[in-house]
Amino acid sequence: MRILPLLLVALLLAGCSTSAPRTASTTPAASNEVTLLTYSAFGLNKSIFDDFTNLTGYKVTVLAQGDAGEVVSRAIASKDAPVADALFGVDNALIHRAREAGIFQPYEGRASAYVAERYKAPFRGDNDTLLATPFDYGYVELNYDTQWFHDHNLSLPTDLRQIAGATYAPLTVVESPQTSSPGFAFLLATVARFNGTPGYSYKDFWSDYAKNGGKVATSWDQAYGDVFTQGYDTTGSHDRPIVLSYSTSPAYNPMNGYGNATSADLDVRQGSWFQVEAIGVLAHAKNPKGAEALIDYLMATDVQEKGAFQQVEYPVVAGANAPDAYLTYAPEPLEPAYLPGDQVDAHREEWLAGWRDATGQA
Amino acid sequence: MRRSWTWLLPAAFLLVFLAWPLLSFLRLAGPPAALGPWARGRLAASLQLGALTALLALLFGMPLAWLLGRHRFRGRKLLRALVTVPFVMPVVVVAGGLLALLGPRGYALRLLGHGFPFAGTYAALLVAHAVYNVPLVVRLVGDAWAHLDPRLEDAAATLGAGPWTRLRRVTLPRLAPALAAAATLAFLFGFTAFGTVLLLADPVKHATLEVAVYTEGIGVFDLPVAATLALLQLVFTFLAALAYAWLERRAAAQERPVDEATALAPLSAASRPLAALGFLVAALLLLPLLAAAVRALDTPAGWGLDAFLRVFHDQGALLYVPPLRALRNSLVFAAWTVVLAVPLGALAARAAARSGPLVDAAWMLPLGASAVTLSLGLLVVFPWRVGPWSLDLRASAALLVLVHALVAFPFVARAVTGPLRARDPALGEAARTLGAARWQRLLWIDLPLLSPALLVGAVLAASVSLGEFAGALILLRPENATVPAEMFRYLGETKPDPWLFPEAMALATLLMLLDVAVFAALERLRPGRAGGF
Amino acid sequence: MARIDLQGVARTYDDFALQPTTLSLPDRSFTVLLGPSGSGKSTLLRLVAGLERPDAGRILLNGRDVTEAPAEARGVGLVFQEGALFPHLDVAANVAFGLRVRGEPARERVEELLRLVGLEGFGKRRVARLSGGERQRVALARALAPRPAVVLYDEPLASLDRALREDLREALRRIHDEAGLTSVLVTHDRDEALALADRLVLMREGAVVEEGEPRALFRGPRTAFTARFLGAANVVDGWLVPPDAVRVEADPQGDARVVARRFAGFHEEARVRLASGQEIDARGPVGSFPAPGSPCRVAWDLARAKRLSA
Repeated sequence: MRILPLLLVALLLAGCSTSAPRTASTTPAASNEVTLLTYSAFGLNKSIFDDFTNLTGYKVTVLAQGDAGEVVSRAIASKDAPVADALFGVDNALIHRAREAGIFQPYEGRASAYVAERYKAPFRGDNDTLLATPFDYGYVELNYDTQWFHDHNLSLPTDLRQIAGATYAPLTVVESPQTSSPGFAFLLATVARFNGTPGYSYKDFWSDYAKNGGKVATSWDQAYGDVFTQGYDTTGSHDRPIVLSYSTSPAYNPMNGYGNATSADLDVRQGSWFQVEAIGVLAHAKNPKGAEALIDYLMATDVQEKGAFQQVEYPVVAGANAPDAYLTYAPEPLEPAYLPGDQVDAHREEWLAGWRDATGQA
Repeated sequence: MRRSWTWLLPAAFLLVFLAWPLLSFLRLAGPPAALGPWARGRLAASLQLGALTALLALLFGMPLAWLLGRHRFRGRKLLRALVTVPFVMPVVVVAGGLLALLGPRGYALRLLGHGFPFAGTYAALLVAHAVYNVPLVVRLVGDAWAHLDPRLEDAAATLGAGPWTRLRRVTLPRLAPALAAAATLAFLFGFTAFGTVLLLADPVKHATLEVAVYTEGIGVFDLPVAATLALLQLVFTFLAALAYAWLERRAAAQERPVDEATALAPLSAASRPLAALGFLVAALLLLPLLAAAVRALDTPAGWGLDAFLRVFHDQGALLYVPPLRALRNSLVFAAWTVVLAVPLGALAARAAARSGPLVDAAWMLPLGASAVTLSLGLLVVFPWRVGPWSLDLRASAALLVLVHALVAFPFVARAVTGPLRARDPALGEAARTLGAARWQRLLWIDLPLLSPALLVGAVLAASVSLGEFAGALILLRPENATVPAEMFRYLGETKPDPWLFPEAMALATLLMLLDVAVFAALERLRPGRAGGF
Repeated sequence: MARIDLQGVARTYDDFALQPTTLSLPDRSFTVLLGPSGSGKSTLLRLVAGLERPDAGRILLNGRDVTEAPAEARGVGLVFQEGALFPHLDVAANVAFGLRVRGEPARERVEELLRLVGLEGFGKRRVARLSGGERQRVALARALAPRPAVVLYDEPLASLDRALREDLREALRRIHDEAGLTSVLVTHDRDEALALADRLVLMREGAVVEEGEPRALFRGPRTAFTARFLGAANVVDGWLVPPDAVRVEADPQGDARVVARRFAGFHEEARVRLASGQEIDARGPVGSFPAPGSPCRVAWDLARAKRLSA
C-alpha cells in the first residue's frame, strides 16, 4: 500500500515535464515539427512525408479524426489555439464556414501559380488573398456494386429521385452532411437538383430516404469501407451496394493491381458535385513556416501525381497527369449539380437544419 | 472564520471551471420546442434507451441479486467481485469485447459459421447496456438484500405466508428503494449513452441527446443547437439524480442493516436451478472481456503476444499517436485526476452531508453524467482575457485533466458522504476537551478516520479517468491522446490491416488489467456494508 | 483543583431552555447533577466544558472568566458516556492524545495513568477489543492525562452493567480524592448520585430545583419533586412521610391494600395502595408487612413526617 503514494508522485512528475499548459505566447519548443489536421480517410502515405522530411528537415505529425466537416469544426472550436499548423481537406463547400470563422491565415506560395484559377477561386478571401491552396479535385458521385446488381438482376436507378424511393433507399448508404464533406456536397446536389421541381424539395427527398430505410454514415471511411458491399474493411457489415463516394473510386482496384473494377459510377442528372480539396495554414499556428513549406511541397508535379493516385482524385497542378485508369473506369459525370458560392454561404445552415429535420424522426 | 477559507478554494475552483463554462455554453440555448420534431425524436430515443436499459438490468440482474443476497456459499465473495468487473471497465473495452465476440469477425460468427447483424444494430447497444448495468443491480440490490433481517420473513412464514407471498409482500417492499435506486442509475446510464452508441450502434439513427450534442457541437459546430439539446438533457438528468438521491436516503433509513452473517443462508436443493442461472448470467457478463483478451492473443502471426509487442514498439503510423504515449498519457491524467478530484470530492461531501437530497443531487450525478456538455463548455469559455493577461487552456493537456477531475469528483464525494454522515461527533468533542485545535483535530482525527473512504474515492477517480472517452474525443490533441481515444480510432479504422483489431484488443486488455488492479485495491479496502458504492 | 462559578448561565434551543443558573462548586468538590432526562444537566455540563456557549451569564474557573473560551482552551476534561475513544489509535495513543496536542512527552505519564485506572500493560491494545468497563477506564485515563483542573463526567457509567458500574464508581471516587480534582458528574441514577456526591444538584426541566449535601436533601427535601426523585419520602396530603415511618397492619376492614411486597435481605419493602388510590412505599424490618393483596390499615409516625412547603 505504501507504493501507491510514490507511484502517484512519479506519475504527476512525469506529466509535468511534457504536458505543461501552454499559453498562446509560449515559443514553440520543437519548431521543426509540422502538425497536419485532416480527416480519417486521408490517403497520402508515409513515404510522401518522409521525402518531405528529407528535403526540408520538418517532421510531419498527422492528426486524423472523422470526416472533413468535423475537422473544420474542430479547427473552428480551437480557433486561436489551433491543434495543428495546417488543415487538409477543406473543400469548396466547407470553405464558407472556414472563411466565416477566420481559421486560416492567407498564403499563396509561388508554386500555386501552376494551379488554375478556377480551382483557387472558391478559396479566395478578402483582398484576393488565398486562404487555402487546392490540392486535388474530384466529383462526389454515387457508385454502385456491379457484381451485386448483376447477381440480383436489378436495373439501375435513372434519376436521383429514385434513390429515396422504396426500391433503392434500402440499398444505399450516404454520408452525413453534418460531419462529412462528400455528404455535404451531396446535400447541396439534392438542393440544386430539386430546386424548381414542383411539389418536391430536397427535404422531401431526404425524408423519403430516411423513411424508406436509407442509411446515413458519419464518414466516408465508414460508408465506403464498412457498409458498401465492395468495401475493404474486413470487419464491416457490407450490406449496401450503392454508396456515396467519388467518380474516381471505381478505378481504385485496377489502379492498384487488385484486378478488375467491382464498382461503377451512377451518373444521374445533377446527382454529383464538383469538389476541390485544399490545404491551408491555420491562424496562430505554432509553425506557420513549416506549414507553408508543406504546401509548397505538395504542389510539386511528382508529388501531385503520387498524391492524386493515393487520394484517388485528380491533380490540380497543370502538367501533372491523372492516373490512366480513370479514362476507362471513372469518366467524369455529364451534368454535375451546381450552386453559386454566395447562395451556399447564405443558406448553408438552413439547409443543414432542413436535412436534420427531414431525416430526424427515425 | 471557522471553515471559511477551506470552503472557498474548492467552491472557487468549481465556480470557475465548472459553473462558468457550463453556463457560458448553456446560455446559447434556445427553446427546445424551436428545434422541432427532431429534438423530440432525440429525447424520445434517449428516454427509450434509458427505460430499456433499466428493464434489462433488472430482468437479468435480479436472479443474481437473489443468489448473492440471500445465500452463503463457497466462492461467494469471488463471484461478487467478478460480477462487478464489467461495470468498472471503460466503455471502449466492453464495446471492443462485444465486437470481438459478436462482431463481423467475432468468435460467435466463427463458431456459427455464418453471419448475423450485430455491429451498427440497436440490439448491440442493448447488449452492451445490459452488460454494464446488470452488475449495478446485482451490487445495489444484492447488498441491500444481504443486510435485510431474515427474521421478518420467518415471522411471515409462521403467520402462514408461502414463499411467493413472502417475496411479494415482505421482501420486495423492503427492497423497493434499493431496486428503484438501481433502476434510476441504469436509466441514467442509458439516457446519456454516448460511447456505446458511437461504437456499437448507428450514430445517426440511434443518436441519444448526448450523441446529438456531440454531433452538433463538434461535427457541425452549431453551438446554439448543441446547447439547447444539452439543456434539455440536463433537466432530465437532474430530475433522475434527485430521484436517486432521495431513494438512496430512503434505502439507508429503512431498517437497521443486519450483519451479513445473520442474513445469509446456505443454498438449498430447490434453489439450485436458479443459482445455476445466476452463475450463467455472471459468466455471460465476463464473456466479452474474455473475448477481448483472447482476441489480443489471436494475431495474424498466430497465437502469442505479438500484438502487445507491436503496441509497445509502435512508433505510430501516420494517422495515430504511438500507443505507448497514449498509455503514458492515460496514467498521468489518472494521477492528476486523483490529485484534483479527491480534495474536491471530500469538500463537496462535507457540504452535502449537512444538507438535504436537493443539494446532494445538485452536486453529484448530473456532473458525472455529461462529459460532452462539460467539454464543450470548457472549449467555448476560453480564452480568458483579464486586462493584459490572457489564459487559453485549449492548447493544453490541462483541459482534459480538468474534464476528468470534474467528471470524477462526484464519485469521490459519494464514497465519502456515507462515512462522513456516520461520523461520531463525540470524537471531535473529546479531542476538543483534550485541547486539540482545529487543525490538530483535522489532521489527527478526521483525516485518519476518513482515509479508507478517501482511498476508495481515489481509486474510483483513477478508474473514471482511465476510462474517460467523450472528453478525450472532443478535446482531441496529440498531447492529449488517451488509451480509450486511441482504441476508438483503432476500432474505427477501416484500412484492411489485419493487425489493427488485435492491437486494439491488446490496448483493451492493458486497460482491463489496469482497472482490475485498481479495483482489487478497492475491494480490499472497503468493508462489506450495505448501500452505495 | 479549581472552583467553578456559574453566574446566571442560560442557554436556549429550539425545543429546550436552560434557565439562568447560578452555582458555586468549591475546589476539590465532587458535585453530581441529578435529574430525569431533559432536565438540562447535560447541557449545563457541556457549557462548563466549553462545547457550547451560553446565551447569558458568565462561567468562571478559579475566578477567571472563561465564558468566551472554547473547549480546547479551558483545560477541562470530559469523560463521555460511551467513552468516545479514537478508534484508529491504540490505548496508549488515546491516553497520550492530550499531551501530544501540547507537544509534551507522554510515555511515562501514560504508564502512570494506566496503572492508576488498573489497566497496566494495556498500552498496545486496540480500542475495538476493549470491554465496556475497560473503555471507560481508558476514557478516564485519557481525560486525566493533561492534568486538567476540572473533570466532567457525562453519564459515564450508564452503558455498563450493574456490578461493573459499582466497581467503577468506587474507582472514580478514589481517583478524585487521590488526585485532588474538582469533579462534576451527570447522572439520572439516584443511587449513583447519593454514593458519589459531596454536593447534589437536582435539576428538572431546565432549572435547578434544590442543591445541597445528599444527606441533608434526603432527610429534609424541600420540594415534592426532590422527595420523590430521591426516593426519600412519600408525599401524602401535603406531608412528607419517609418510607420507614409508615406502619402497616393487616385489617379486614381496612381501606388500604398491600399491592406488592419485596424481601430485600435485611429489610422488607412494600407498596401500599391507599383509599384515595395513591400508592406509597413502606419499609421496615423483615416480617413487618402482610402478604400482597391483603387489606390493611396504614398509619405513620408523625414525629418523622414533615409538612411540605412546595
